[in-house]
Amino acid sequence: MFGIYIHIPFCLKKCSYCDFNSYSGQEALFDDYIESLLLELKHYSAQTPKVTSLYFGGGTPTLLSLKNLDKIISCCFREFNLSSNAEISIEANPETINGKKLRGLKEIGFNRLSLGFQSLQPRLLKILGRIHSPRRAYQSYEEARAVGFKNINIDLIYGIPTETLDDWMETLDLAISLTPEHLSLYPLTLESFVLMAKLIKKGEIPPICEDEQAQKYQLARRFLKRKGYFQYEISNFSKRGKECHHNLIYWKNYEYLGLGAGAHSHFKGIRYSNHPHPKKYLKSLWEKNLAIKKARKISFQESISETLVLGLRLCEGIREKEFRQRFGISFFNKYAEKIEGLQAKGLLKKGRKLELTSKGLFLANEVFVEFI
Amino acid sequence: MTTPQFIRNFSIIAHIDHGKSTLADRILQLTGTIPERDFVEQYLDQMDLERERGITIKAQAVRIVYKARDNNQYILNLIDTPGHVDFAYEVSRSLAACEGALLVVDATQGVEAQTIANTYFALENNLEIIPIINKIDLPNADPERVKKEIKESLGLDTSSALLVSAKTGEGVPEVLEAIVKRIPPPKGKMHLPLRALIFDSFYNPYRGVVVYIRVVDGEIKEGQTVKMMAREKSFQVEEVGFLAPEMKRAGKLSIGEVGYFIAGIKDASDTRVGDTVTDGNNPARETLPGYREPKPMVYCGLYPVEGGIYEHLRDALAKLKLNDPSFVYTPETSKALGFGFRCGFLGLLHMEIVKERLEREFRLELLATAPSVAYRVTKTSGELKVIRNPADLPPLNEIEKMEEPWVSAVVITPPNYVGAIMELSQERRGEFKNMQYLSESRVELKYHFPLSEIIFGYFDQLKSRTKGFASLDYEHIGYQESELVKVDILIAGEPIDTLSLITHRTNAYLKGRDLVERLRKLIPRQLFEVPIQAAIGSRVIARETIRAKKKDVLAKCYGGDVTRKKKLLEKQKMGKKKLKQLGKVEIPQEAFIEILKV
Repeated sequence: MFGIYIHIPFCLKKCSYCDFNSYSGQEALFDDYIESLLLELKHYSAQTPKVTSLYFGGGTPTLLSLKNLDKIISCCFREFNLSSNAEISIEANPETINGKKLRGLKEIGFNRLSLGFQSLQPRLLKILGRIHSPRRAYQSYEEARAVGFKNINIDLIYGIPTETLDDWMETLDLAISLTPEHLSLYPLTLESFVLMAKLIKKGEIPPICEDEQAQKYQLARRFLKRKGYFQYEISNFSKRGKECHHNLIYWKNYEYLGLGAGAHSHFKGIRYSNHPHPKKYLKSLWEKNLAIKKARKISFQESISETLVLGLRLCEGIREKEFRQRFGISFFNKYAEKIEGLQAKGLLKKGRKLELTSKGLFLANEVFVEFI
Repeated sequence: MTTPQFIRNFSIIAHIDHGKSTLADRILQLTGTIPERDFVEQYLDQMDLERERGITIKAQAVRIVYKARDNNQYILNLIDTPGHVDFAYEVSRSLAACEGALLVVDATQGVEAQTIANTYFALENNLEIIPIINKIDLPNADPERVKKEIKESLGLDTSSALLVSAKTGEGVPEVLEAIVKRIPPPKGKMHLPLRALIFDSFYNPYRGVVVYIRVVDGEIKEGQTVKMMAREKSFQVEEVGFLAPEMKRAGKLSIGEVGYFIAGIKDASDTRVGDTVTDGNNPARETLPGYREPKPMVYCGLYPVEGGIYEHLRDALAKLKLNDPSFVYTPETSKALGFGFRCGFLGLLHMEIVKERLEREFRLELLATAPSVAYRVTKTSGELKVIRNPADLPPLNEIEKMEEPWVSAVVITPPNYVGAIMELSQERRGEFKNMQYLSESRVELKYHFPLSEIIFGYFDQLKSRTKGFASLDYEHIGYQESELVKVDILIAGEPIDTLSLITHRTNAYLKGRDLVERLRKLIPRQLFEVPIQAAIGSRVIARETIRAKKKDVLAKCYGGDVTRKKKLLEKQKMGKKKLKQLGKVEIPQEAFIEILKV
């Protein structure tokens, strides 16, 4: 398994909770940015193993024209050995797509669509600073189905200030009634520098209640299970066989290339990250054919620790046998005492594999810090 | 040697900030005792701590040579006294080494509580008191009012009070003349065996203890064997000299003279303030009056913040005690804090000073538990026990009666705050004794208080409720029976020994409530629900609950940014390493220290 991630750091408008690497009002940069991406792609040409996943994330990748998206995707097909059944995903804001655009996306090769619904309550969408309406969200979903997308994810956020339990369960119910293949549910988490955090600090918006988030999480897990979705990661649910292949690459601690401003790579035993600001990224690429800002060789120890911390996010946990084959040691031996302690706290289960308990899922950091 | 006729031993007494150190500085400068180039302000307060806090902690003495207007040369020995109620005994001993005292009162402030307390000490020692009205250069100085207050409150004759500005030097020459004319020369008998009063000592790592004395009868010289009368220990004198103010060898000291001697003494406990030094071969029959063993009044536990420096702390305490015999310590163990020491101090300031000196001079990071007074318990078996740590209190059914130390306090205030002070004193279980107008603008209030009420914030409250205008002084008056209870604090069902406190029954609920609420704010959420309870015996009087932590997760691994995730986890891990265990509960170091302060 090997993935390529392509970052499009542009949005129509920055959402109030967003701490991602994205910028609004940079339309003038689009064409140059595409050219730079193509340069970066060509730099890695034919250096990778067979590519099983291609993922366009943002920002808002659907802000780009079909022509520009086609340029990138064609370049990928040309420069890399793309598996014939590769997962090719794109994230989309409902406001930036319509039937025509969706048909185009399908035609140029995308086979998985990730729709950023976030909420289906107008009041909450407003607090989040989203530009779309629930109506637009439903429409975009129907249009995607109509043009033949057979693998659709819906992103939802819970624990938004003022959101009630009913708000959340209704949103979830409405989303499921559309029968998407995949659902990602994220508890709203704010970095101190984002707009919403500042509004909360000023008292203009009530604060996030983590206890309530925990409750909503557990309710959602039970509800989705009943509705035939199975949970395969802390925040991710899907129909059988519809897990997000690309994200599995991250969680299983395999390698991937990340291209574009601020993108992260894990390639040939090294973790890289690019310059986050698009202008800096462009400049660096024109000058050096590369935009790497930081690089760090991952030691054997770190690799073990990363494999555990990432792998435990998956509900299937980590198989002792697989781990031993990969690293030549047993984590049961290496972490015996810590594992025991975490078991005693009711956070970890141990059999032939190691996995988080139901309680451990929402307290995962308590577990991870022991393996860092 | 100087004949007693030309010796004057005096001290300066004052309320804090009334200008004692400034007047001393000016006298030293005017008489050329300190060369101009060596001069620093607050010359006699040599410890950094003293300068920073603007107070005198250790007594000091300096020999001043003064050519008076009568053309005779006089030796004036200025004995500088500590300036805080914690050191009242040391003050009284320093004063006992003098024949006179300069009473300095701020012309803008008037008589304050310490003015009165110190004057009483001087009167008890039969000192000639010269009232000095200081700061007359200030525009709001009111010497006439202040004179009246001195007369009203202290019964002193103020007709010959001196008007001085220590800052500008105005009136200081007259002060020197008054010392010579009004303070009597020392009396004493040359033919009697040596008797000298110890008024301070300090430990020099190379020479042993340097003892400050005032010779009363006979003389002390090098080579002589001397005996500490109360301590019953003898030493051979190696060096005798004056304090000029640095040590100047003189070979001997005789009647009325003030200076130091060194005798290979390794432990300052052998040279207790107030003890009498006599001739080892020809001892005096009677000691000088007034000696008392130092009696710690306030106790707290001192523990190393990090484990593993216990030995270091033990050595530091032993070394500091060489220098300051008035504090005591014994090893103790706490479930929460491990190995440490229960330490006794003369008062809260003394406690802070010792802790700060340990931290500065020995580079220790220390944790002090909440201070407590020493309670007396009579058990049903008839056994009398002194409780210095609330955790040591016997079970209720074994207690016949309990007593706590009381103080007699004087508060001086402008009249408009009398109501507020009475209310505060009522809250603090004060027993009103007396009220007297010293002048139209100053009232003296007398109260009796349990010492513990004074220690826990009375002074701060007094200052804040009177906008800083009231002053306080107190003296110990012994133990009185009291209805005391022990409040235990349980965290997650486990009693935390260091948080137990003894308090009056009427305060138990409020204190328990307050403590539990503060703990709720300080203790972070755990993976399980944590009840915090205050209990008297098995009866819970207050409870708070810290709900279990339910969320601790990074929602998303965005775009494969594993590095950032790892950084966050590493930060969290660093925090975890610093966690301290309090029963079953894990608490960050900073919160832990805060908790033990409450």
